[in-house]
Amino acid sequence: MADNKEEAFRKVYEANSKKIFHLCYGYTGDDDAANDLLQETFLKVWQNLHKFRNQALISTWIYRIAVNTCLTYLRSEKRQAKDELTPLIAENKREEFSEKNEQVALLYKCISKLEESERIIITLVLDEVPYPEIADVSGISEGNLRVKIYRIKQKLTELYNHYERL
Amino acid sequence: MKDFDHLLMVWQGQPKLEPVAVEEVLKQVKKGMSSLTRNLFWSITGMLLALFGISMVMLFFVFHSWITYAGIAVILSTMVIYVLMMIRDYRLINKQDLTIDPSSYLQSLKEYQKSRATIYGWMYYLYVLLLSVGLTLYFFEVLQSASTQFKLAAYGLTAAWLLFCTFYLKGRIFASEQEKLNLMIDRLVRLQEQFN
Repeated sequence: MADNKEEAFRKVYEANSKKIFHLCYGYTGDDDAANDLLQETFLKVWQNLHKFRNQALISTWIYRIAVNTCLTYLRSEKRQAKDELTPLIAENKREEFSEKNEQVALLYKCISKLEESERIIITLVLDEVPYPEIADVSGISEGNLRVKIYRIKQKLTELYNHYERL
Repeated sequence: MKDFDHLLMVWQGQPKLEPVAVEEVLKQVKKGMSSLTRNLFWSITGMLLALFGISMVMLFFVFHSWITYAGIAVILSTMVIYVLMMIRDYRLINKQDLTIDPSSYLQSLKEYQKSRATIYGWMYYLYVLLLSVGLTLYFFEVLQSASTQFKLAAYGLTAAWLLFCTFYLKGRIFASEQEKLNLMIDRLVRLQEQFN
């Protein structure tokens, strides 16, 4: 029984951890924090695995847990201060990256400038999560989501072009 | 000028920032309890141990006056009610399904916050009042043969401890807990506004 649970957990982790990590990284701009959030998310997955009855895609279920975990992340002022530093962290990280990867760091910096809800949606879009699944995770209708995604894409592209020129 | 497709390409071409290995996560998850429920869990455990101790006193110590038994009974019942309230809160947090959408999650957080405010509000004063009555009745026989100084010290220290808990500790614990809950609620409200 315990082995089955562990085996199921391994499969779920291996199939979803990278995308969840991207989501958390897009949210925090910090890989240590992203790993902490990833672990917290999967701790909740482990605790609730028995509740999952295939009513929805398991990935949607995990995304929802990850989103709520990210949202409750900044509980203390210390963490809040850290969040405000996100663009700065992203800036510092830029120096560590090679020239090629500067673009990635710049992209994360631009994502960190977006609103929380936009950050969540765009990381899912970039990871090519299907729209119905994103709508499910964010709790908004698919029609509204399409409009929102269009605006976020525009905003992100503008931000990217703006910072690239600097 | 770069378009969104370029950003998509950058995203997909990003070096693999490897998340922690599954073994590491498994080790963590097997540790169990989340930080949110840990404090409450230990408070309940502490109260249950105290309840057990006091029950032992009632069962194995022989007192001559019914007043002493009445005192212990008042203390025990007060503590049982308090523990039951704590268990209810513990279940309320555990019931909070993080897999539900942010607005339902927000609702359960508000419900929990309201319940905690009641526990730290008038219920706490009632608890202290009943506990003081229970202790006074208990001390009535137990301290009968003690010296006046000892009696004064016992009553004084008990009163001081209850006053310290009521006017200093309770406020600090409540404020810190409410601050954490407010932060969580504020962020969820902000996000809900963004989605609407």
